[in-house]
Amino acid sequence: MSDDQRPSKGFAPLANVARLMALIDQCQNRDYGLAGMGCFYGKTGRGKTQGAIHASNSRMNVCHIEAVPLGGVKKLLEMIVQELGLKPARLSSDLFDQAAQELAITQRPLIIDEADLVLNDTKIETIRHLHDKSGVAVILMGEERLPHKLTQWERVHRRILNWVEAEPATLQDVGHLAAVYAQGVEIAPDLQQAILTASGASQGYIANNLSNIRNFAVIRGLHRVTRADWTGDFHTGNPPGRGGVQQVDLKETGMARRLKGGK
Amino acid sequence: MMPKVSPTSSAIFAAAWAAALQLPKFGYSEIATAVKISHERATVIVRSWAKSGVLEVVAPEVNKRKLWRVAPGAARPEKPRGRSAEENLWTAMRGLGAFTPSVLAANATVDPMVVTTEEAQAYCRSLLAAGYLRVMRKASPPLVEAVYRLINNTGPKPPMERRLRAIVDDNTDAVHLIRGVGQ
Repeated sequence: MSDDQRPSKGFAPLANVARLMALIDQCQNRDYGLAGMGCFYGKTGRGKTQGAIHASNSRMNVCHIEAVPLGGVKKLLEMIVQELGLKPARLSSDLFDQAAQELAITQRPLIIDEADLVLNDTKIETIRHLHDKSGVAVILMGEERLPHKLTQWERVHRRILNWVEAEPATLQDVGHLAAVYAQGVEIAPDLQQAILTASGASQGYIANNLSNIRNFAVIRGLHRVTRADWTGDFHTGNPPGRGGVQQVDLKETGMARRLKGGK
Repeated sequence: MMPKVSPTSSAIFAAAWAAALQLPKFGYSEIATAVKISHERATVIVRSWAKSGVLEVVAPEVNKRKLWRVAPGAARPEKPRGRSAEENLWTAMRGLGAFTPSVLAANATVDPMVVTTEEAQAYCRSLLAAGYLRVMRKASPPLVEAVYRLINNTGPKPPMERRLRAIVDDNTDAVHLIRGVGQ
C-alpha cells in the first residue's frame, strides 16, 4: 500500500474534499471588496457531504448545517445558532442577530448543505444578509442544477466568488477509498479500474463495491484481489436486469455478445 | 498560577484580536477592558500573540508597562482549537447518520489528528450504552463491522464519558452528584 493510501490520512486526499477546502479557503481569504460566497455543486454520491465533514473537523472549524424542507427561515437560523454552540433565541430577528454576531466574532465559514432546500426569497436573502453582516465565507452546497437555480436571485448570484463542481471520482480516489473500505486487502489496479467504471465514478457506489470485495477476500483468505478473482456482481445503482443480472456485468464479461450468438 | 485559556474560548480569543486591531497600542488592561475579560485572561491571550510573533513592542515603555501594537501585515493568530478525537468523531457521526467504526474513524481523521478504528469503536460503544446510537447491523468479526445509527443528535458538543463521584441512596434509588468547589 502506498503512503497516500494509508487509512491514517482519512478522506483528505480525495479530489473533491480538496476542491471544497480550496473553495472555502478562497472565499475566506478573499481580497478586500470581494464577496465571499461560494457554490459547491454536483451529482449525489460525489462526496460533497464527506467534504463538509472534513472541513468541520479541520482547522477551518467550519459551521456545517444541513438544510431541511420544513420550518422556514426560523428553523434555518435556529440550526445555525445551535451549530455555533449558542442557545437559540425565541424570535427570528434575535436569532439572526445571534448568528451574525457569532459568525463575525469567530469567523467560522458557514456551509449550507442541501442548499436546494433554501431556494426561496426569505431563506436565500437571509443567508445573503448573514454573509454581508458577518463577512464570513458562505458555501452553498447542492445538486448539479443549483448554479442555474441561483440565477433567480441576482443579489446572491453576484456574490458567488467561485462555482466549483464536485467531479466524478478518479482512479486515485478509488485507491484512497480502498484504504478505508477495503482495509487490509490489496485491490489490484485492473479491479480498481473495473470498480470505477461499474460505479459510474460515484463515490457511494465505489464504497459499496469495495466493501463487498473486502468481504469476498476475507471469506476466501485473499490478501490481494484481481479482476479475475472477483466473481460477484458490481453495485452499479442500476435496477437489476432480467434474472437479476446487471447490465454492466453483461457488457464487461462479454456475456451479452455470447447471448446474441457472437464469439 | 496563571489560568490557561480553555480551547472553548475561541470566541473570546477572536474578539480580543478584533479589539487589538482597533487599538493603536495596548497592554493587558486595554484588552481586558475592551473584551470585558479578567486581567489574567487578557495576559494569557496577549502573551500567546507576542510568542507567535504577530505583535511588536511599542517603545518606550510607559510607566513600566509593556505596550504592543499589531505588527503590520500580521495574520490573525490561529485560534486555540484543541479538538479532541471525540469531537471529530461526534461531528462525523452527525454528518453521516449511519456508519461503521472504520468509516467513522476515516472521517474523523483530519491532519494533524489521527483517529484509529479502535478509538472509534470505543466511542461508539460508550454512546451505544448511553442510548445515543442504535445498532443497525450486528458485527460479526472479522468479516462484518457493526453499523450504527445516531438516534440522539443533541448538538455540536460531543457527549463524553466522565467519571463522577456520587451518593447513591438505595432507599430511594436516588443518585446525587457530589460537586466539588467551583463545579
